[in-house]
Amino acid sequence: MEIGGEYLEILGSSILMTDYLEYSNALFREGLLDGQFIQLQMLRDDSNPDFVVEVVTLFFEDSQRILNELSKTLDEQNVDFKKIDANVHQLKGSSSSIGAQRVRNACIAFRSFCDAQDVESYGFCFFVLFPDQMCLRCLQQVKQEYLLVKNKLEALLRLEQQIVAAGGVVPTLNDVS
Amino acid sequence: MIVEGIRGDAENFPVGMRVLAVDDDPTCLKLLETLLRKCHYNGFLNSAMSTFIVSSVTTTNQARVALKMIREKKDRFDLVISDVHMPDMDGFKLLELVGLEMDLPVIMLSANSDPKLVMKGVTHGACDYLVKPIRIEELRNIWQHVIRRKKVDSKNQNRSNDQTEAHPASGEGHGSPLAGNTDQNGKFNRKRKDDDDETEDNDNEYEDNGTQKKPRVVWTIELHRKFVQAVNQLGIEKAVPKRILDMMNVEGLTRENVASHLQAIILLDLCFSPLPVKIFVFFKTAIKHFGSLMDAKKIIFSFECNSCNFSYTFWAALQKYRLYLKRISTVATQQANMAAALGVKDSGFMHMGSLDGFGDFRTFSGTRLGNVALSSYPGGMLGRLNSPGNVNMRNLTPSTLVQPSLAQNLSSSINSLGKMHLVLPTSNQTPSLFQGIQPSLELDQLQHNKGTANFTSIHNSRIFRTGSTGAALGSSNNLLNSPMSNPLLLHGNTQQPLSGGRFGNQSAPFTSESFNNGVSDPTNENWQNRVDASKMHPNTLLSAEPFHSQLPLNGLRDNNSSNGTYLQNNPIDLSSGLALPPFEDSREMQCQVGQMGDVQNMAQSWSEQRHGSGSVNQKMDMYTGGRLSGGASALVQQNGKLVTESIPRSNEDFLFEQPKLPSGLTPQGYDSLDDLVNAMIKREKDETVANGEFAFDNYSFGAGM
Repeated sequence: MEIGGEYLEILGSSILMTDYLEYSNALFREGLLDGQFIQLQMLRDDSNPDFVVEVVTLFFEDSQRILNELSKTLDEQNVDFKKIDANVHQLKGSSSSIGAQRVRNACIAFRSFCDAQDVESYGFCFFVLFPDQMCLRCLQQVKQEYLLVKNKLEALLRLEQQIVAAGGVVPTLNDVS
Repeated sequence: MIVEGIRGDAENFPVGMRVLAVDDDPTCLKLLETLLRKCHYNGFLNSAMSTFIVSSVTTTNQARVALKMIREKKDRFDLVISDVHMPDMDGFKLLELVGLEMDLPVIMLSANSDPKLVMKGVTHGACDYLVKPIRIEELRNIWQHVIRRKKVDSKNQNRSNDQTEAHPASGEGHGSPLAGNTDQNGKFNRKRKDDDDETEDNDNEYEDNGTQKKPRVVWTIELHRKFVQAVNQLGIEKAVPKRILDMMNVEGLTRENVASHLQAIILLDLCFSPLPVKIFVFFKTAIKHFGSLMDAKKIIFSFECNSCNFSYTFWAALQKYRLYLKRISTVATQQANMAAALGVKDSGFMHMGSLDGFGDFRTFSGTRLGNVALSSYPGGMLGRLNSPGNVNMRNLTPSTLVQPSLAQNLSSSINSLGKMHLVLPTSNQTPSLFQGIQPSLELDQLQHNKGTANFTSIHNSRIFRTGSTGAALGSSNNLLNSPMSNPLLLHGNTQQPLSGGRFGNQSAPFTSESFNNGVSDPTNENWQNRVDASKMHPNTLLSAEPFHSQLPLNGLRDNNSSNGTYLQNNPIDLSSGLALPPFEDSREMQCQVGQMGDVQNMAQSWSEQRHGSGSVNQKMDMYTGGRLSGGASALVQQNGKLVTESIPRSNEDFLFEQPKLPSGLTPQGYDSLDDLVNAMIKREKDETVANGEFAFDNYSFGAGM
């Protein structure tokens, strides 16, 4: 019956919307995303409906590139820390623009190690003796965080698509932090 | 896309900025582009505020390309936003080149917030320095910097209204054609060169960090009064900044000042009307940094941006506020009538000290009204604390804005100018008043209090510097039974700062709550409750803020009627129930609260009725002299002590009464507070106040307890 169909549709999209909210709230709680992501959501409107998807996609592409660069640089004999610093800095900027909080934090930590190399301010032998190791560790951390947020964001955006497909409206997120 | 005109308001006209955005990070560039475009669609249209309308956005990820584009056509762009770290060229280099060659405003952008870099940007001539991630409100604020710089430049060259108000929001009454935009911009650009030296200063002047090099307008009560008068005369609908300014006729005041003030007031109104928790939280933090009215604008902008679930344009807010003003004016009239009926001799009665109670110009940009609003909407605000649901502001009826029981309090609203007075609701309304009053300004507290009357937060208590009588603690009196007794009035008319900073370090505000307590609940029971409450909320009697700055008194000294209200620096913890001294003629205890002059009167009558002048003096001590070594603190201590101690004798005594208090002080007609204080000091010298129990340290209430 017609009514039934509509009802199911609403029900379906409601469930999706609830899932979406729960999922996104979890992401916020875990610090994967922060308020900036909500800002992005707010910039989405009728004239720009795919904004979030576009920006996030750009972020993924760019980040992948940077991470590859970083791996390459760290692999070299003489590590160019300035280059590493520049790359990490950029990743920090883009991740913060997206709201990928943990990636950003990992970048900050990464950079502080790089700074240490340059200014040799660290008193820790480990760092001084094994700078590459530390940087590798940092890079690993960044990569991990990046992959994590990538998966989550992709899942979130998929949910959004489903909601829209089910005739619902993507709920606006509230910053629960 | 060129913006043709402004929606809704003929007074405004947008200036469409053609922006060039440069960033090698594609994510950020995309974000920036979208934000800028948003500024095209979402420009605030309000005569009081600048509007950042972007007419075109060009983006590039290479600095060299950017430079090329800029050089191609001199007037092609109005603003450049550039990242600092770029692979092909350093952002600062670009800044230099652009600044040197084109004299375009450049805004730096970076993920790095290192102050050194920021300085570098500033010294290289950047208009502003943004830290990623950028938010839309930041862009809008920056625009103000840019525009103001131009405005200052243009002001120097051209006195005409058109020039000075040539930025988007300023076109009051005259719609400079958009077509003239380019010309103006061009002119601005040229002028900017001339004022290069000043630009840094100008920038700093308008920094949102609150530091200002030029003196800004301080909205004193007088000024605010004029403002309100002007608004009233113009009528709600017609009260636009330009007209208000004209009517105020204050030298040195600019339309901008008036506009900002109006905004701030509306902003504060918004804060304290029922809002979703989220917005409220936002305001809470924003208001903390309310260093200047620029920040107010920022808040308003942010407010709009953060309104996830409802859109609330500033314009709508303004309308709402005007409705509110309307309502307040009727209430104020009623209050005035009541006051007249009760035979209040002095118009000072109407004074609401609360405005100054805030006393913190910084935080509220001198918008006392806002403070009042605070107090007036507490219920609403509190109510909202518990209901985070989204509220569509548009659906809010005016009645939701003002709690009926608190409406009277709002007579302190703008309309009343100096006459603001808070009318104490009748006793049965006390609870709500309490609740209402609570929010004073510790928004944090508010947040956590969830509507419970927790008065501890008020130690800064800007609002309630009412002279709650300390006696309230002990005595079950209904001192101010009469509806006119207005504990809130106790607050202190801000008119006269206490002589010589007598209040020095006494920052304990008079708490209206306590006043309330006293007033509303004359029974012993109440007193018990109050005592309990005070136990629960030990407060430092004197908080950090200099008391004198917050408790100006107006001259109600001539009021010889027995003033029931006993001014007392009470810890905010009003719930500690400052019972008002029982006056036989409660009616006369109209609150000349906050009047130092009254204090003596009150003290007199009090002592007459009570046990003697001793206690009164004690109170006076406390009230009058932060510096007085023993008395005030003793009194305070006493209060605290009494609170914690058994209640028993309080019934008879004023809570603050000290057996050992100097009793020599007879009620006299002290001409001035000074006299009284001098007398007390003298007495102090003469007597030994051997009150071991009172540790005169910091007047801390808690210590007394």
